[in-house]
Order: sequence, then C-alpha cells, then structure tokens
Amino acid sequence: MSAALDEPRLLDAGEAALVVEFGSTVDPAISDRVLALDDALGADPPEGLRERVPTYRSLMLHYDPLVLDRETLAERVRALVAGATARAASPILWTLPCCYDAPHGEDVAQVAERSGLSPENVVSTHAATTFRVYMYGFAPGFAYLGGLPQPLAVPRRASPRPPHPRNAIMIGGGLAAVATVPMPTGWYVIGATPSRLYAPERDPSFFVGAGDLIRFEPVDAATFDALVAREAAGEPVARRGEAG
Amino acid sequence: MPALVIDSAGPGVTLQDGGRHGYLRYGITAAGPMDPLMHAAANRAASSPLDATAVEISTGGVTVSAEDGAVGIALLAPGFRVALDGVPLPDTVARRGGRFA
Repeated sequence: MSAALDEPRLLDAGEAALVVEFGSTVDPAISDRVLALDDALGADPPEGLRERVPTYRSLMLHYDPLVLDRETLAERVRALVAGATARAASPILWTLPCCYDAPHGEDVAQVAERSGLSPENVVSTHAATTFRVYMYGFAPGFAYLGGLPQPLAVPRRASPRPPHPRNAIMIGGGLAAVATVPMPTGWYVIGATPSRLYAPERDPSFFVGAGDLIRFEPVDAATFDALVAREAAGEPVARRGEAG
Repeated sequence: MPALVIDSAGPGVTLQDGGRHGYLRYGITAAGPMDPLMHAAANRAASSPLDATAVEISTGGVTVSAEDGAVGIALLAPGFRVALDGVPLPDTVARRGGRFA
C-alpha cells in the first residue's frame, strides 16, 4: 500500500516546531521527499530555524519563535515543496565491517529460533542486504535502517535485554539499526561493527547521513579486534563508495 | 564584586543556558530550559542575552542572596510564593539597582 501524500501535512508540535509529513510508510520515495526538503532548507536556512530532523516519513523543523514566525516558515516550506527539488547530492554507500560471531552476535541464535532460519542464514541474509539510513533518533547516533528482508522481520522482544555493547548491529520489529551508545533494548543484537558512527571528539562527529546506504561486511572476531584498534588510532574502518 | 549566592535549592533546581542546537538530527537533544520562552523573557527582563544562563526553579524552591552589593534580578515564577527578606512580592518581578521595576 502506498501512503504518500501529494501535499505534505503541516503539523504543529508545540510553539517552536513544525512537522512536515509526506506519508505514513517506510518508503524510499517518501524519504527522498523528506530529504530533498531537508537539503533545500539547509542550503538556505531562514534565520531562526534551529534544527532540521529528518524521520522516516516527515521532516521536523524546530524554530525559535522569537526570531521566525510559524507562517513565514510554513510558506517557505510550501514554496520549496511546490518547487519539488531533487536531493542536492547522491547518497553514499558505506561498507561497515561487522562481526556476527561470538561474543558479538549475542542474539543470533534467538533470531534464528524466531525466524525459522538457520543462524548461518540469519547472518548471510543480513550481510547480503543494502540498507538505507532513514533517520537517527532515540539516542545519540542510533541509526534507523530500512530494507530488512522479510524473513528477518521478527517482532521485538517481549521484555528488554540488558544493555548492548557499543556499536551494536540490531534488528527488531521489522527494522534494523546501528546503536552506538550502550542501552537496554527490545531489539536483537546480531553483531557489532568496529566503525564508530558517532565519535564526539572526532570532526565530524557523525559521518553517515540520512539517505546514505550501508552494507555490512562479515569479519571474524580477531579481525574485529584489529579494526577496533585501527579505528581507535584515528583510522576510519568504514569504506566509502558512491551509490549507483 | 557583587554576586548572586544560591543559599539553598530544592530538587529539580538547575542552572540552564539556552541549550546547544543542531544535533537533534543525529539523536542528540539540545538540553536547555524546560520553558524556552519563559527563559528568554526572564533574560530580557534582566537585560541579559536571551540564551544566558538562568536558574530554573522547580517545586523544591530556591533561596538566594546578594553578596558584596546589589544584584539585579528578574523573576518569572507564576504560581510560586516569592518574598524578599520575608516581605511578600509579586511572582513576576524585576529588580535593578536596588529598585523594583
């Protein structure tokens, strides 16, 4: 079912934020419209626009109501949407090393049990997928990915598990994620990447943007340890390529 | 140099600046005051930059005093009981140079 809106809905979120909603599903075409508006506003931001927050199906715009009034912002949004620009830059395809083996793929066996796939198939299916980064949210550097193949679309846990290690690769509820900061979670941890999507001391602190694509490249635990050391020495282990 | 001294502070009383904006798209909240417009209005009344650090008062209340001379203060505390040296004051008040405005 396609649930894209011709005209986006403008929804007030309090007195200092406007949500521009383009649809109601996880859909690359809807995300493209979200990100095209994000790019257009970023290229020439009205004074008083504080934050642009892309999500799966909407762009949330936080503004300073003492500087920018709601109607001025809304008119700007309507004009940019009517102009229907494409995204400013083509997405980047990132290849992130991922260790699915023990001790990192803590929950692979549970996903296998719930999905009916073998543990090997859980890993090979995940590693054969090109994911799209739709948004960050929930926690610093928590990247929500779309594109999870249907056989891996297991429901979330009935109750949360203890905090996952840093830079965990997770699936749950039909979605996939990279979770940088350890937290309790209702998702399944099926691996870890030595790449740090979020490094507060690094410039830039984040290098993967919404709209980018991610593939995971299986590595064994010894390689994982070596790559963690490389990353810690300031040598990024994520590889960058242009998406087709 | 005149200074505002916080003599006592109840639970939830914090110092808040205007927050650090721009990283919400990466999942990092701006922090800052619970009520940004009230925070900005208090700063305006105190002739401070609108994002200057202010004392955010919660249900626990706060007691402050001036040290080494008069301290200008703006207080926006609707619903709170406010007093200066035991004398009740309005809950929204600014005082500068020893006079109420």
